[in-house]
Amino acid sequence: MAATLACSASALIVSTAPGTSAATAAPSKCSSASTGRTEQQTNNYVSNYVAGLRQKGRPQDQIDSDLAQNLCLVRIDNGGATTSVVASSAGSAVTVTPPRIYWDNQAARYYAISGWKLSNAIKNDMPATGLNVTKNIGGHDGFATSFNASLLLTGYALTYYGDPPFASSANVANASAANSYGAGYSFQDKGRNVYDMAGTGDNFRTNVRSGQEVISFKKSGTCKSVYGFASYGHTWSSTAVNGVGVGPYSISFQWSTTSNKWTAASQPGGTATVC
Amino acid sequence: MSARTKLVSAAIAALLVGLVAALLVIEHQRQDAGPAGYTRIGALGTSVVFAKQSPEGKDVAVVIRRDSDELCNARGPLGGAHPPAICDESVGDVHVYLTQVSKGSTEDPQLCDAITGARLPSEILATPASWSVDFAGSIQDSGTEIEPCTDVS
Repeated sequence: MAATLACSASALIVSTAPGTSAATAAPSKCSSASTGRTEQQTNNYVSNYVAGLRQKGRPQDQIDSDLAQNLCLVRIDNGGATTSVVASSAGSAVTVTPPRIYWDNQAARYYAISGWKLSNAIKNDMPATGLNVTKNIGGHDGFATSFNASLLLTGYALTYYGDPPFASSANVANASAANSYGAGYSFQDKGRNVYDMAGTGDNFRTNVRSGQEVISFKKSGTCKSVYGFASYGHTWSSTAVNGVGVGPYSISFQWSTTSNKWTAASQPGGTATVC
Repeated sequence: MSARTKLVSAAIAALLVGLVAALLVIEHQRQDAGPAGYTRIGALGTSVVFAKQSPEGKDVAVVIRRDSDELCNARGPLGGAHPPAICDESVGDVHVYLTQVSKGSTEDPQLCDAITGARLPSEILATPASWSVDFAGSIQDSGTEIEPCTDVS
């Protein structure tokens, strides 16, 4: 009991501690995303909510502020790396964002949110096709998040969103891997060449332009320093991601062939004290 | 068979042997050269590890080849306090794992069988002097999945 009380107090202190990227507590008028929702529904809701903010081009500090104001999610990691990795191989490029860690005091849940954004270079991996024809770009791609410490996961969700006419957002129903160190997904990336009406050179659309993964976990009763990273696995031609593995600060991809693929890992994310 | 025919046959055989040898040398050189811009760092078993740093020195890209197979083509952050594994992937029964270690480190990178937890052998690959990190890794051909040991002491 003492440990539980101490941990609760610690979590409260962390969520309001000055000197972190979450210097302010969640405002009292905010409404936890978990209100009236199951764990899975909450993760999907948070993921879609963040997707909406990212689609509006909001920078990270505004996303953090919005999440605190509206969903009671106060960022508690120390910021960590501010840069992400851009992978460039065979004409493809991606920016991978490490997990940012938040605390919802109302629901007593931690949330970690990582993400990616693909550049237009991925169109080089498209099979030859005419205009307005949607094609798979190889087999499945994969995305996963892993942490350095074992956590009590309560849910996870992955949302990707595409360029019009692809769906503005889609949740992947089932994770390929999930355990106390994180979770990973695979999903089919698609492309479509469209007529460049404005003459800007922007004639490529993909269904997985950006996306993010949300992982929630609860207090364990023991305080620990937690940080993580994320990784994107991309394929083209006849190659596919056959499986995703998550271990202690470890993300593995299983490929169908030894060619036409790349992976890109993010920087480590900021460290948070979770209890 | 006349002496002339024997001579021609021997010459043709010698040419073929020479051609095969030349092809083997070219293939070996092709493997050693690696992708454009990459430096040959070393080998994990029979697989060759190539790497390059991004111009601004923030990222590292790695390609691991075995014969004509590309076991890994990956990129991640260079250095830092907790760099994630650069390569952690498998095709069929082959699993390759490569991570960064401190420059000059001789410590066991402590890689384990993900299922049994048994410690796995690994190799440290020393980079050229201009690099700020070395690499350590392991390749398993038996379907063994590699991950960092959790009981590190």
